[in-house]
Amino acid sequence: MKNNLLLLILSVVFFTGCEKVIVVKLDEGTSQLAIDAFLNNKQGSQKIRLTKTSGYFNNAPSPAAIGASVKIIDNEGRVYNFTDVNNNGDYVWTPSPGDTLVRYFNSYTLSVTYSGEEFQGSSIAYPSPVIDSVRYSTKQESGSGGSTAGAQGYFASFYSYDIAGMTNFYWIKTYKNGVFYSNPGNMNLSQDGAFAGGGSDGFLFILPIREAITPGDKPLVIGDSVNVDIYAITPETFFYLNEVLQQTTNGGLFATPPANVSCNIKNIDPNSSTKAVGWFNIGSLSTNGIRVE
Amino acid sequence: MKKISLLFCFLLPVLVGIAQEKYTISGYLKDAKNGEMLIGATVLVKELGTGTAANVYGFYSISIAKGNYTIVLNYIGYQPITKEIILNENLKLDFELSENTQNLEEIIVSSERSDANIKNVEMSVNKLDIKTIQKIPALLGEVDLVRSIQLLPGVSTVGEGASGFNVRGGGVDQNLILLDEAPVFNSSHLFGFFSVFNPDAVKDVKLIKGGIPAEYGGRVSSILDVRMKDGNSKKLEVNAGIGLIFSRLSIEAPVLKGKGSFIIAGRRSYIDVLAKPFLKGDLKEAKFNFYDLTAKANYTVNDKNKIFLSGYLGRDVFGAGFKFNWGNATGTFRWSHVFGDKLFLNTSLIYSNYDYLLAFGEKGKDSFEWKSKIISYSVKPEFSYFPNTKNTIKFGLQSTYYNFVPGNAIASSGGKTNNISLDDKYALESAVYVSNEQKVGALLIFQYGLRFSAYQYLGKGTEYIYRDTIAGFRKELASTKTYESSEIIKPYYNIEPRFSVKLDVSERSSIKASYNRTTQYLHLISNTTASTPLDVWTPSTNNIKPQLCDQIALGYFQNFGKNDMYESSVEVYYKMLQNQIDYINNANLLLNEYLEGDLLSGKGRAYGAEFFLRKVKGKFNGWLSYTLGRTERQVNGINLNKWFPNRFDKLHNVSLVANYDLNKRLSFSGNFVFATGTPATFPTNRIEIQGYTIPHNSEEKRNNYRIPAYHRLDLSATLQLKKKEGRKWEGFWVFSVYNVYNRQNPFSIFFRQNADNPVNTEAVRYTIIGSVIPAVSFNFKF
Repeated sequence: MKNNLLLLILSVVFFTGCEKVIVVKLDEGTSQLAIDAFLNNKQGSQKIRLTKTSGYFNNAPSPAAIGASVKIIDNEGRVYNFTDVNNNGDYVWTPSPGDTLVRYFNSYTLSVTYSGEEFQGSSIAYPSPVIDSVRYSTKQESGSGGSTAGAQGYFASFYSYDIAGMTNFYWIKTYKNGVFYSNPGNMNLSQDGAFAGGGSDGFLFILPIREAITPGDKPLVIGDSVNVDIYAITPETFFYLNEVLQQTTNGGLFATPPANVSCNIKNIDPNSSTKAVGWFNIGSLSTNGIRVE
Repeated sequence: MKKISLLFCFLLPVLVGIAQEKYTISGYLKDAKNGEMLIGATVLVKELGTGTAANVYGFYSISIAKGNYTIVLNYIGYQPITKEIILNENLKLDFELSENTQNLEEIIVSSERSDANIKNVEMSVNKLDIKTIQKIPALLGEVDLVRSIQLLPGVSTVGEGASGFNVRGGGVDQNLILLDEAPVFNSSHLFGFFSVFNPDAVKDVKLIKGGIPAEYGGRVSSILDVRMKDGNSKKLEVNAGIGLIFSRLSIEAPVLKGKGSFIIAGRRSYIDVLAKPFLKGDLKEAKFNFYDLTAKANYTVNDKNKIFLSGYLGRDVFGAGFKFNWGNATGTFRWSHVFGDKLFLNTSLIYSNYDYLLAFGEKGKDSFEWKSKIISYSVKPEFSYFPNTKNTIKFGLQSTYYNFVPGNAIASSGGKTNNISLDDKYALESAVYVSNEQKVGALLIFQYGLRFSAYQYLGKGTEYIYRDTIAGFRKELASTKTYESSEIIKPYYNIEPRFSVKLDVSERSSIKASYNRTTQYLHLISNTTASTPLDVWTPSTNNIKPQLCDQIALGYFQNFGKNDMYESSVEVYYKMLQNQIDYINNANLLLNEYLEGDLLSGKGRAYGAEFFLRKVKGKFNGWLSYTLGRTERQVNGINLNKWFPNRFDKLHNVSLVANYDLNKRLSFSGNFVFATGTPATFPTNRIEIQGYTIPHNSEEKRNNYRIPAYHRLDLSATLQLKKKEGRKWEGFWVFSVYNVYNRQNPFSIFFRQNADNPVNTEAVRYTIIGSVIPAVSFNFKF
């Protein structure tokens, strides 16, 4: 995150260069099972999505992987069965009222059996801090951070303190009018309220992270609503998401060699040549929001 | 050490010489107009048909038997001097040569002796004098040394705007860049568009790609030896230029009754000032500029002692709500002393510093400040000994102390402060060397030498010990051990043999061969396509082994045409590299205390052939260079442990440089370059996770595709102002057009989700300079 931010500053400020979308012919590799399992403590159904990887330029949602058996077991022996009710690759578990998937610091094992192969991954559930408030102002304060775009409008910030006494990792997810900012460049990750490296235990989330919930070139207008989630992630997930950020925004003068992102869901038979891709994280989620009026 | 003693035994008979009554003629060779030392000017003893050449300090010495001789002093482009001497005692003779008042047919662009490329033992060496560099059409009309070098055989770049250059398949950090003997750790302004060398202050540029002599060490691929002007010792001289992007001014003059002289040269860019009216909002306060100051002074104490002081200070400044700046500072103090007539000593004390600062926010409140630097202090006594006409012996000592500051970083938020600085690191790199250039008969010259290098990674510091893991994954820390100040944490010693030979095949052709081993103890930590100003130099440690390179090269050199009008050469080389640094996937390289856990080590190899044809004389002159080359590496943990091409691998690389002098006032120049596209890693599949589409290569291949070829044409015209009676100054205009046919050369191709429709993915061609760039500059001097 830190590296990317700096390189972003470098590249944006002076060398926007010249970009053109072109046609490139790519070989398509072996299709693999992709497991998208990011779960939280919220009421309502919790979803694990299983797909098959498709060609990079296959511009349609990847095909669903159906007929799998999916369950999560925690270290106290609770079993949560996820079922593909609609046969569309969305494997769902719905808590009964008052129940939740997340018990802090419990460890969870995800098990997916698909086409006769079993894949397992694990995660620990961490807490997330309360978001005290989300505010907005008409213009960014001068001298702030790296967002130097000249766009005019409303810019939102959130205020929250890192949970003191332990090392925490967070993914701050923003929704504008209910739509997630899925542009990878807007991915907002934090360790102990700062970028990375530790030593900021108990910090107020630092300014560039507070402000990053509004993309610099797309300010809000009157009537827009902004919702912010702070989602607790494991240290491994923090690195994984940094990899995703790196690999999905890897252009320009200072690109790094493209590399595959990690995967924490492995075939339980180490000798099998069938591998899955994807990620499993479970953690608490806090939310807050505001409407620009 | 045994090998060194052996070498001394070998040299001993040479040192003793033959017991015949001999006398020595020695002195300095200078330019009559401005007093600049003439590096490489030759002294020929007509009766013996033998001679010598001035060293890089302009000093020559030749010992011959008593007698009457005619000596001829020669420097191409200068009128030769012939002098009768009666040699019955040691003679001190300084000479001043005058430039030819040329007529156009005789224009000579190289300052070398016309057959130097054939007669000298050195191979894989390219020299460019500043006059040649000034003729090459330049980006934005600004003459640039590093960009000019990229037109030579064996030299390439990963792309436009990337800093540094690649020599025979080596990385940008494998070139030792010396400015008046001081190492320059980052040779670029504005990322990589311009280099730090001010052409007004440069006298001589030499690039050594192979057959590296023993006096050079510390980098494995090449040496770029840039020598600064001493300053006009005859009269005041002012040079200035006004261009679109920056302006230059240099002043040189004699001081202390002609016993000394100085030059001071400065440049400053004004892109930000010019851009201001076009910027909006926050960007109005934006700063982006660079400046540099190059200065040198010399003083002749007496005919045995001279002292020199030179320095460079440069900085790039960026800011727009944040502060980002970087720059080099170097200083060299040099003392040359002649013992008797045959032994020349040059001692240099050298300082070099590279640092950067990145900061934003209000200090102490909501802020982040990050500084990093590398400082080096060196001492370098170097002896040249001229025992007789057959041998020239060099020996010396070099010692450099390094202080690395990998990152001093302080972040604060809401009044709380967090110091995430890394500890400083220290190292001492030393070397002793000896070499001899020996003529055997009339046709053969050998140059052989040995360099012994010793390196110590020093405390105060921490030794990190990592657990072994599967190659390609982050290594886990096992334990640490702390060391006190000056304690040796890890030493390394290496013996580096150097050897070259030249054999004349005919009057106008020769064959040369060379072998050299080189060692590199410093490493630039960078895994980006172009290296960035934020990249940090790191010492060899218990985890990072010194890089080693063995290179063999073979060449054939032939001149032809009237008066050696054409020079041509073919060279082939093969290089093997060990302990090449690479990185695990998604490595974290900045402000990471456990960086070494993210590093991989591998092997490299590079091989190729270089073809060079140059027309050195006449109204129409220039060169054609073609390099056929490969550069690859093998690293466990990358590309399924198989060999893969380096990111800057280019199979074909062609440069054509042409000048045409229409008349005394108007000349035209053009250059054309063509290079194979560099390799790139393209995805095969997509993974959809949390709304992101992640590129995935199911075969885990590295550099499995190539981006399209690079080619470009540049043109320029130079118009001298009419000379007017009584006007003391002269001036010239340079009009240039860069990228004449508007080629959109790809720097890279990358993949992303469409911003508006994230389900769609797209390939994006990224071009650094995607338009025709015309420019004009005006230069004058008096």
